Amino acid sequence: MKKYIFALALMLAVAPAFAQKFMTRTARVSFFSATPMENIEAVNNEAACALDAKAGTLQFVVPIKSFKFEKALMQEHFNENYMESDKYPKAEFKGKIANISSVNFAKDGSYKVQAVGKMTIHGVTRDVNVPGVLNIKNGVPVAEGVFNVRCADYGIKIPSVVSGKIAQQIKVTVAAPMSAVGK
Amino acid sequence: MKKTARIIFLILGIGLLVGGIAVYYVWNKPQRTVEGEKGIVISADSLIATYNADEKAADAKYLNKAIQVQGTVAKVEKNQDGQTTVLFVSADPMSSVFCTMRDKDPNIATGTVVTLKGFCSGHTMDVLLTDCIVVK
Repeated sequence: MKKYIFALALMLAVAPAFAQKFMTRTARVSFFSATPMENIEAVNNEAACALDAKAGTLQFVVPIKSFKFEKALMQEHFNENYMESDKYPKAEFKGKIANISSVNFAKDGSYKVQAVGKMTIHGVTRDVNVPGVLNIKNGVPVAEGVFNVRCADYGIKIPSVVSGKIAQQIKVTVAAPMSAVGK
Repeated sequence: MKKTARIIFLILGIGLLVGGIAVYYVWNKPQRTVEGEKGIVISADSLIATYNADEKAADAKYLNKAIQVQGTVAKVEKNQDGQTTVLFVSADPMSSVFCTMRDKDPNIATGTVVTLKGFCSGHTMDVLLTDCIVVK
């Protein structure tokens, strides 16, 4: 009996305590729009991301004004005409990783996940289901995903004068290396 | 007749040239920088408090404006594109001011009091300032 109690105590003593909540202030969100005339690219390094490994909840908040374009004029048009960022300064995703139980945070690896929830862009909220990857290294996740956003879905009006320049589907790439909260 | 036609063509030609140059300069206009604007002077704690009290009102005041914020440095890190980021010490444990610097090596030390000037991008989990420079 004593042996069992000792063994149990030993196991509990060395059980790995793994963090549950993760976040980053510097998630990288970039988008790319390919058209026959000109390619449009922008990068944002100030997106906030939070993940609760136990509950599976995932949230992204992206400040629109932090998207950097090579051309100042393009950045201006993006903010003033298309995204109306004075009115809608943030884009958000609020949801959860549907298959969080299949992700083993104690085992390093690359886990395919489905992020399901509500995406709000330009003041319009839609239900989305986005495929992504959670790369676990030393118990800490890096969330990555690539998905398409259709301008029309979020009321983003592209005037016909430039519709040749801006693709209707924008490819968005997200990379969020996180750290445990409290560190 | 020939002379009038030539003059018309000359005027049109100059008009097109001037127009073309104007379009070129607008097309390639330089990025907006904080040096060119007067910054709203505020302490990090004041800025955080204003945003915590009423985000929409704070946005109306600060969003997209040049802000000059003074505070104590809590953390200096780098983002995924190698830019330096500065997090200020905050009275509020849940929210602070987070600045992304323009220069790659701005030489900022943790624990020191600094004044940074940048454009306000609003509030996510912290008040965000982008394209920041150090004010001496």
